[in-house]
Amino acid sequence: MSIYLVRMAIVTCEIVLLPLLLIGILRATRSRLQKRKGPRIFQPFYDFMRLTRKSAVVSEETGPLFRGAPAASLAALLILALVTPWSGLAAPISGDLVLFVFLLAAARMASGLAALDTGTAFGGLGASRESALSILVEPTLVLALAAGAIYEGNLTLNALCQPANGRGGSAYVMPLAAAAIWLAAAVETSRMPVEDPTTHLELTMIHEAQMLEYSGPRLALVEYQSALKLTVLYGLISQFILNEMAIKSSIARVSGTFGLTIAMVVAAAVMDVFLVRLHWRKLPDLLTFGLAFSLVACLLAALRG
Amino acid sequence: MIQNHFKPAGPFAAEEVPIIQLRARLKTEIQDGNRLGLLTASATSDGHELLTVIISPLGHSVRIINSLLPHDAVTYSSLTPDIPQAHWFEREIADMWGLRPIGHPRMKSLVMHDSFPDNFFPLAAGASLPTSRMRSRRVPYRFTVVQGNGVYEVPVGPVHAGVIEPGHFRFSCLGEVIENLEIRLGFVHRGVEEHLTQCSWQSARYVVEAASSDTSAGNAVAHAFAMESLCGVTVSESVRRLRAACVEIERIACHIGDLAGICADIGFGAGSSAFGVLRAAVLGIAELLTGSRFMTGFLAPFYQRGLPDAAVLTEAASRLTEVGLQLRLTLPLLMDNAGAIERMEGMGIMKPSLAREFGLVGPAARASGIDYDVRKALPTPEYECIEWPIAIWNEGDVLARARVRAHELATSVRLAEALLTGIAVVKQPSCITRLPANATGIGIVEAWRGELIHLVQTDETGRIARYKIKDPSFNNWTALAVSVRGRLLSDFPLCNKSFSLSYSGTDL
Repeated sequence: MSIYLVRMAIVTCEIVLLPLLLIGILRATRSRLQKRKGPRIFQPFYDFMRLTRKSAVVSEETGPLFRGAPAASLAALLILALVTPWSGLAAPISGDLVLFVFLLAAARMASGLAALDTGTAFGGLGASRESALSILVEPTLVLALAAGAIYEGNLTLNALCQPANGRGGSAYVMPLAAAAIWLAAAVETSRMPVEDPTTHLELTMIHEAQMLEYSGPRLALVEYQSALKLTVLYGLISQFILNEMAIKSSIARVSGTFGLTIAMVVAAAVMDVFLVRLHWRKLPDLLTFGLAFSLVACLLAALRG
Repeated sequence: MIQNHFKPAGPFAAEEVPIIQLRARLKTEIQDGNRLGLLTASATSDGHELLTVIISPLGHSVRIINSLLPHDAVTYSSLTPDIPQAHWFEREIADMWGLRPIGHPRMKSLVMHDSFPDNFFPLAAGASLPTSRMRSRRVPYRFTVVQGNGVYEVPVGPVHAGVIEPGHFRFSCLGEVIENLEIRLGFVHRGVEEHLTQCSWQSARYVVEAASSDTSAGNAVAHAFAMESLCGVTVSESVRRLRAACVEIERIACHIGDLAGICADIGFGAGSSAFGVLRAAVLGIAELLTGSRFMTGFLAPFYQRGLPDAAVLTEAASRLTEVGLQLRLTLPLLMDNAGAIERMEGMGIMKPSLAREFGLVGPAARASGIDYDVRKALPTPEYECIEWPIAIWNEGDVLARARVRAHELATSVRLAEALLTGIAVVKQPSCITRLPANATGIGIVEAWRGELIHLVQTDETGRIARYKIKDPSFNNWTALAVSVRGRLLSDFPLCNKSFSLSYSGTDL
């Protein structure tokens, strides 16, 4: 019982602190790479506090969907963070891969409906683009997680945070699945080469276009959610890599996850600065790679298992 | 070497052509390879006249055609059906003077918005803006409607997310595909032309610099040429070299800025910051030379106060050399970047035939295979200090426009260096105290966006009676709307940046 409480406490702390810290590291790295001084690493925390204190401007055209959506999607993402073993420890609540994909979809649906509710052209654009992309991303996520599940012989997500039967060297199952989720994460967390997170051009936005109407505390929530999603997905990728390296002890896994996540955030910053945003029509090509990786991972896992 | 230099200081061959023959006359002019530089109206003692500026790139000459309108006439037969480049000029004349072109294919207001009172024409005689709250009875502006299943409209602007000028873009889309784009300008109509007839001619130079503030050197030089041609005087070789150097430095800074913008619009942060750093270095050279990063308040007609001394000129030239070296390292970041090339290639194509019909100017024209550059078409001795090529690409896409800019950057750095080394520090005192009566002057400059024309006319007392500025963007806005047809909505910002147009220069 006490071990469970310790685990819960660590995961809660990470849920509260890690997402905004990672965004801070990402932005600071990006600034350095562009030879700018850039904000402090802790700036996202100050921004969050500032936004929560501000009053919100809400369009009279919007209804309860717009107002309620940030809370609804936050709930979905918090559950996601509690059922996924992204911190290196077993998740406090047990869940399986279908629940994982469902929760992501639920959060996306809430923000999409809210964007439609604003009645603005940009909101509608963003919602339609995001749902179009999610159709391409979901199979990748399901298959990548399934590859892990087949390999570990267990559908629950928690099985992912322990290398199965002490075997290392998964014959490319884990690296392929990790690569597939990395590509899917570029879409889910709206990073380059899918979307330029720093752009002000509404016409090129996907996820950002849905958030345009938010201000004040709701904007703080929406921004925190993007960060939380990034943290969970990068943490999940870390588990695949740690499994490949056959690391078992909890302390090694937690610190390993932390290190890998920061490395991935730095890699994301490098991609933000040096990659060119892909043309909308070229995005399916990129996502096909993710699907191919996860499919092959599934096949290899089935052959080995 | 070209033997017959273009003489910016007139007198320009002016010619009377009856209004009924104007359309046929312009048609033959354009068939002969000449350009419609400018079409505008002016008040005469007995009503109005149409003023046409014809530029002959092959003959290296400029001509003015006057066409008197009958007394009290408020309409004339539209020129646009035969001369498509006249379509915006005629809309502007209708807005400013109330002279309606009969038979114009798409007549609607260009700069005067619905909130102005009906029958209010800013430049027409006796027009005064009502000071009380304006009650509009104007026919509301109607955007072109695209009908069909699933067609929807995306309105963007006039207030944009970036700190840029105001303009409204109305996209009619089918899914992500742009079926039609209509651009509505006029949000920064400030009455520049009217103001130029009211302020003293000595202070006019400050007003023209603000006509489009990113082209302050270009506007200042075009203004200087126009005023000097009005008076029939020329300035010394050194002053003209200094002016040309300023225009070239402005071109370097703005082209680098545009390439930075293209990088930003394809999400290529590294390129955008690298070009941004270089642009700041060029603005530093401008400050060293003129005391202002945007070269405002420095260049003047007839004289030049504070000609930079030899040490400053040497320092500026050596800094330019350094910029040139840096450019050679930085340009490949964008121009040899496979991802960026894929993004730009085949994007926003402006066909050469259409570009010719709409009379495009500047880098946009040269990217569509039109070999028109005022520096070559109306050559002056200072631009022959070195041999330099004119940058031409035929594809007409975003990549071609970027390549033209990259190519012109190298040329302009060489030109500016050569121009700066040939400046002798000689005082150029002003010899003009009043302007001649009933005279016309024209100044034409290849500003960084392209052909920039200033036309000035004085009345019988020697006051400026009419001042017309034709910003290069005026010719190119239509091209932007045409080039994005059939492209995706998310491609628009990139196409827009590749044309890099001025709102304030068009709205005036």
